[in-house]
Amino acid sequence: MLKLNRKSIIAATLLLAFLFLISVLIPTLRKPVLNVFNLPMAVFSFFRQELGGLIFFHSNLVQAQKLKSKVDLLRKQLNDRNELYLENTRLRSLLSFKETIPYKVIAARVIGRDPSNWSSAIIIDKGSSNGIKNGFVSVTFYGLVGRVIETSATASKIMLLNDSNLNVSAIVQRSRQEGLVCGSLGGSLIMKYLPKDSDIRKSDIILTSGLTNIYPKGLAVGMVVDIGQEFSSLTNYAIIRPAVDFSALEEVLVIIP
Amino acid sequence: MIRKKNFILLMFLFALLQVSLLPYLRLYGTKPDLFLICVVVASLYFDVESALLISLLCGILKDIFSVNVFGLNTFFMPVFSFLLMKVSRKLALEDTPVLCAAIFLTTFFYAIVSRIALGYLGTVVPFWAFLRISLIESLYTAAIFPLVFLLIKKIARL
Repeated sequence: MLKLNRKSIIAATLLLAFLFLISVLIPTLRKPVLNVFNLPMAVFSFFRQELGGLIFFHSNLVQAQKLKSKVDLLRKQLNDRNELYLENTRLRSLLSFKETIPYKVIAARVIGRDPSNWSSAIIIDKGSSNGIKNGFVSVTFYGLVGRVIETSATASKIMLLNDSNLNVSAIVQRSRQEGLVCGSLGGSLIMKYLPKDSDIRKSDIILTSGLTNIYPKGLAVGMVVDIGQEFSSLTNYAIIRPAVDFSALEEVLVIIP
Repeated sequence: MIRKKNFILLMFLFALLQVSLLPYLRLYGTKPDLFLICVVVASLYFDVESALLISLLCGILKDIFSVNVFGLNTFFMPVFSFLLMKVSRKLALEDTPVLCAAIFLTTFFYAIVSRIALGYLGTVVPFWAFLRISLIESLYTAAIFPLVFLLIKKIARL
């Protein structure tokens, strides 16, 4: 039988009390001890890491190369998805526009542009075999693009609105003031032959007038950004910012009359 | 023979670049003219017949993709090639900086001639638009010339 004398009972009780005290104090001791050990731990960890890096250099290198190629692949996939998403958005807007306009239209993709700086034109992937003929009008969701001037079986050339050879009869949406919109081979158009007392202001919207049978009435041409007086002082002119960004055309619609 | 074949293949590649990629690398709405670079290089490095043939092909290609009256470039490019060959007999056009200057002047004169011809054919290009386009086009074409010339030299083995 275990003999418990008085001394051993007191020793055990004191030990238990000490252990209990330490246990109670641990949470309060935790922070200062951690603070003290923080720096040596960091130094140790650094050396361990560097040593590990040296020891496992080759396997790390192989893994890094694998991950890098995976990242490149994922990045490429992400770019492809983004491109598809943007194309999808553009085509959706084109489709919704196609459904809203009262004309029969053919959607076409831009496959080339005029190589010269003296004219402004695009080449599309639809031609006479798709029913496109010279003189047909091209539009996008935003407004008038230009006119078909040449067709082959599978491709057509469209002269853009900013070409100096293309003139469009237009009206100011607000005041119904008529004028002639011409291209200037730059980023803006010029509306000519406006009477001196014409009712036209900055930010006015310009639409096709439909006076000639070539362009359907009401297609957006652009917005007035500036008004000036012709050199002869007989008429005014207006600088128009085109509704369509001609430098960023990727898909267009050709109206079948 | 290999030189000419490669050069003509390169010319077709340039034609594709001119209508597909270069319109997206516009500087103030103006793109460089790779066809004119071909014409200048052909005029300086090939015999008269080949140079004229290449210039003619360049002109035809440019006119095919262009909306201007057919024949404008087909006519003027061989004429410019011939004039360049005449000039190169009097002046040494060998160093790249000198060639850059030649490209600049050729492009600028070509722009002037084009404007006059277009005006005669009924296309009016406003004076300021002409000045902007011709100057930027000349500078841009001259600026990219060393790079293009390097490519031509490598592929066509000039």
